[in-house]
Amino acid sequence: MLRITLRELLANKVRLLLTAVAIVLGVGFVSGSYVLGDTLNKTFDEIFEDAFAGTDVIVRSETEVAPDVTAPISDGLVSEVAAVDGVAAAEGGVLLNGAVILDRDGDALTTGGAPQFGASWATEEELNPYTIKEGRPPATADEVVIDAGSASDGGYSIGDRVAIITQEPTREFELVGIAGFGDDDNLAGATTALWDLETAQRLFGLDGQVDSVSVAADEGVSVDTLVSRIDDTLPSGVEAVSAQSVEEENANAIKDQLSFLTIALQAFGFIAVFVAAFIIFNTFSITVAQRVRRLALLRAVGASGAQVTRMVMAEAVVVGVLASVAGLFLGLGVAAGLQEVFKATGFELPTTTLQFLPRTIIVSLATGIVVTLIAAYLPARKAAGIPPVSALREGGPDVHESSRSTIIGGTIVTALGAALFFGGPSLDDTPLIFGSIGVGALLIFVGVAILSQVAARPLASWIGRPLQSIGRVAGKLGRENAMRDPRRTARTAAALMIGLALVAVANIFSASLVASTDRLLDDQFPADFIIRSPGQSFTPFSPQAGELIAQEPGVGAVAAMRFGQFQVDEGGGLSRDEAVIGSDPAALEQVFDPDFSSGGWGDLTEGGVAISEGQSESLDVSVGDSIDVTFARSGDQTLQVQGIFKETTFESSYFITLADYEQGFAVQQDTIVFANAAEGVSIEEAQAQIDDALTAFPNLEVQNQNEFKQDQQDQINQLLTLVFALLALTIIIAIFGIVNTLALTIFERTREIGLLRAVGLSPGQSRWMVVWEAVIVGLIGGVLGLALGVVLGAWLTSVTPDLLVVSVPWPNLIVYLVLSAIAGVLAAALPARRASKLNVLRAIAQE
Amino acid sequence: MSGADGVEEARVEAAARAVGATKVYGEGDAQVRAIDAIDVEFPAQAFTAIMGPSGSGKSTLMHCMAGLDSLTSGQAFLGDIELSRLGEKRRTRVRRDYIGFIFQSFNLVPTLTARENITLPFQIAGRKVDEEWFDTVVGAVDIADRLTHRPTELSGGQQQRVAAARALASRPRIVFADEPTGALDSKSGADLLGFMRRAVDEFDQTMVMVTHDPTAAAYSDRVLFLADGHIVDTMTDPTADAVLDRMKTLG
Repeated sequence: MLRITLRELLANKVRLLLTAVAIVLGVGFVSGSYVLGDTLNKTFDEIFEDAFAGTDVIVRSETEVAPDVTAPISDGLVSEVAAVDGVAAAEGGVLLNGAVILDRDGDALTTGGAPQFGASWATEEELNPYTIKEGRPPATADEVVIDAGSASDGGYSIGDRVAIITQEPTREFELVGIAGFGDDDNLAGATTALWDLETAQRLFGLDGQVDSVSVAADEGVSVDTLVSRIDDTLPSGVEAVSAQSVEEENANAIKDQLSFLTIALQAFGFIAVFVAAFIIFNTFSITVAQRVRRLALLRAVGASGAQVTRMVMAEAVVVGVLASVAGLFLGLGVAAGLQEVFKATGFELPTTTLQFLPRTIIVSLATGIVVTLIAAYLPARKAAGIPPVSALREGGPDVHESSRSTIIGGTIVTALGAALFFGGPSLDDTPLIFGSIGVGALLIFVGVAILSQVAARPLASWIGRPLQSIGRVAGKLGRENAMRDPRRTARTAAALMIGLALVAVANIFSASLVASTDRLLDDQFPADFIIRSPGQSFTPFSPQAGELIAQEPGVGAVAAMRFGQFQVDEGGGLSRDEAVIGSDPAALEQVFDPDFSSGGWGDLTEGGVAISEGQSESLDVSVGDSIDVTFARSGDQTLQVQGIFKETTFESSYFITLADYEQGFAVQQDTIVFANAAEGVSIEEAQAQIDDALTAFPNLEVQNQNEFKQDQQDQINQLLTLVFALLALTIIIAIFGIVNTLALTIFERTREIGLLRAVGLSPGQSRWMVVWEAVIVGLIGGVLGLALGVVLGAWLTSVTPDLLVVSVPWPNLIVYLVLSAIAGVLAAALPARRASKLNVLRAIAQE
Repeated sequence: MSGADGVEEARVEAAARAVGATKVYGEGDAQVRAIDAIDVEFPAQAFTAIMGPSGSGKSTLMHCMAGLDSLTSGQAFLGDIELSRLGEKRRTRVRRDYIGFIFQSFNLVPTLTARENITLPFQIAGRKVDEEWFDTVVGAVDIADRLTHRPTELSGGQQQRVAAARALASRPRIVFADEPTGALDSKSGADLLGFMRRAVDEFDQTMVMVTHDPTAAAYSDRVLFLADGHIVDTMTDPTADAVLDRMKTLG
């Protein structure tokens, strides 16, 4: 039997290829998402390995001032640590995220999301992750070293004056050296400026302090021994940890952030495989139907039903294995392609050589093969049911499953899916919610695809009606062909349906996000201007920027927001880290209205705090009560609750006065500044004044309310573009599915097309006949997919907490409907050509 | 084309004719001359049968005369139109407008009703159906009560009669039938042949039929016998017995 299988496959290479393409693409995406994820993880592992290459122990504060950022410690500790027995070298360092290097034209170098570091140069070579590539280390307050990437981007060479913004406005330094990070030109795309320790401390506002002390052990002294020896000498609140654990902490922190990305990519990959499964199922169904006579002949000469099933399944195994192996290697290309997609849509990621782990191989092959086998199983079972007598009959038997069992089966699957999907959000565990919604959506797709087998005939009839007048006889024939085997039509359209449903969901989600952001800004941020670092990097900047703006006569209220983190006492000896924002309440009154339920900005004074209702409930406090907190610098403090607000954007943020913030934290940097135009001053006039005031801060972007909204919208659309790029593969697979069905169908209808051609149908008309059929299939997929997408998307949006508005972008959806018809035209291109090139004589002579 | 029709047809009595028609398949040693320098005329308003053993070239001759295939050398005319000079596009139009077909099987488009199948050439051409003629033809083949049925709902004989009605619906200059009764029982076959005969006698149509059945050939006015790509004999007013005898000598 195996020999027959292989013969069959080889005799139908095109069919084999068409069947395999869907799986190759799907598995390619899965493999590619794993390769990219592993590559990113490896990249960051390498970076942090390099960063701590010669360091054994790190001494740092136990307090975090922001997630994964510890408070500074006294630099007096450096000598104490150096004196510990077994320490070969110890050196303190400072690090600032927010040292912006300007290029020769005075424009800020941008990083596409990577940090912009300023740091102290470590004089002990083994403790310094940077190496001088050219020139020498910085020695005086006027000297700086920058990374090689920034040097080439900024157009700088040794001896140039380089302008850099730190806590102070733009200042120029002499470039004395160009450094590399390990072997690389920079650290994962970040820019870095390096000064001698004393200069860096002053520039970062950290006189007499260091962020951490790096320690190298004497030979023969174990890291664990040294950690405990050093720890014994340290004051409370300061800890010694092994460099390796810090390395892992940092790498894991980034991996956690990236895991969202890799999980999303894998999800898209599995969606692609899911869609491919539909195509495999459809292709096998068609090819089994086409081989009824040959399979029946096998049955007639004595093959059992089980043998016929095995034969079809063996074919699936061969297709599944070949396609999965091809897909696995395509994954390397997909990973490289995805990196380009990210770059093109503005999310540049650092990279190392592509990582091809055994896990990727196993998952990809297993997915591809298992999915192919599952998809081929039903058609294979059906093949077993072919009676031997079919071999003798003219044409295949019309195996009609009852529409009743189809409707019952489809309804059950759809209902089950709907229960999981719509019931998902009432679960209490986040991964469970996503799982329930995801599996629910898949089941709904399968259920609707089953039901659409019954609905396809009326749908095709309805959609195809106008084609009869547009496409004349070709339109009529195309419509009849689309209606002739509604199950085939429905299964072909199902793949496109899923793709378009996801497109619609993504678009409704993003449109609602845009509308909600606008509403939020209108309702709660009446500020005229927003000043911040460009893009979404939220690189903090010097408070001098806000101070300069406030001095302009045309500017009214200026509210700078300074972000940090402190510990909140929950009672019973427990405490938790929460975000804290320092700002000027009088100015906030003008620019930010979080809807106070009691108290207000006017009540917020030094020693006070404004919190959200959620926080007040969890701490069981109301206005007038006090809460105990621990700041990084000023330590334990008691704050009085002076306002409680309803708004949820800053759900977990604690608002305090600037004075309290300055007491509480060593480093003073603003993340965002809101400002209003003064009474009677036009927006344009005020904006011009702010621009003037900030000439020394080319790293900052000044936007009025409308520009900011546009910017937010652009960001969201950029994300949507990325999602569309990822969904494009699913759509391409769906288009291949249509190509596949059409090609097989035309093969099946060779004689009929020959007859039509004999009685006078022109090659052009036969081409259009195929195109119109494909257009109807495309539109069925489009109509069903968009309808499903609107229902699922609108509902998902309505239950997403941060989305206040549900917005369905109807014009876009109409465009997608047109595009689904165009997808049909594209899919028809080759099959239609084949139909038009058909040799009439051979077609009618074919037995 | 149609402007000159009246004049040409008056001069040329044949509905179709071939001059030195030769069709060669394959190359080198595998070369086969399916028809070899055939000169033949198919008179208008007559019923011609083409007979011959398998491989005699009878189907090839018909395909070339009907504009389904092209000649290697020589000429094929439909009235005044030289088919051998036309490209595929114009040959398609000639088939659509001037030629009717009845094949042995698979004559009908399964998705269309009987009526739609009969009017298919009109739909393809985007022309109006001549309803009076349509009714005449449909009445003659006795399928008026089957017009809304699809081919799968018709018997083999009914299907072939629908095909015959389609072949005649556009009042073609000539109808080519390729073993039209090959898949039918004798009763259905006789009905169909009787209709083809009437089409010539009562409606002044021109019929050319390829067959290997002497009984079918007996319905014709004249039989052409083909062997090895040549016309070896003709017989006018044939009877089944006479045709059978002649066929025996051709092997």
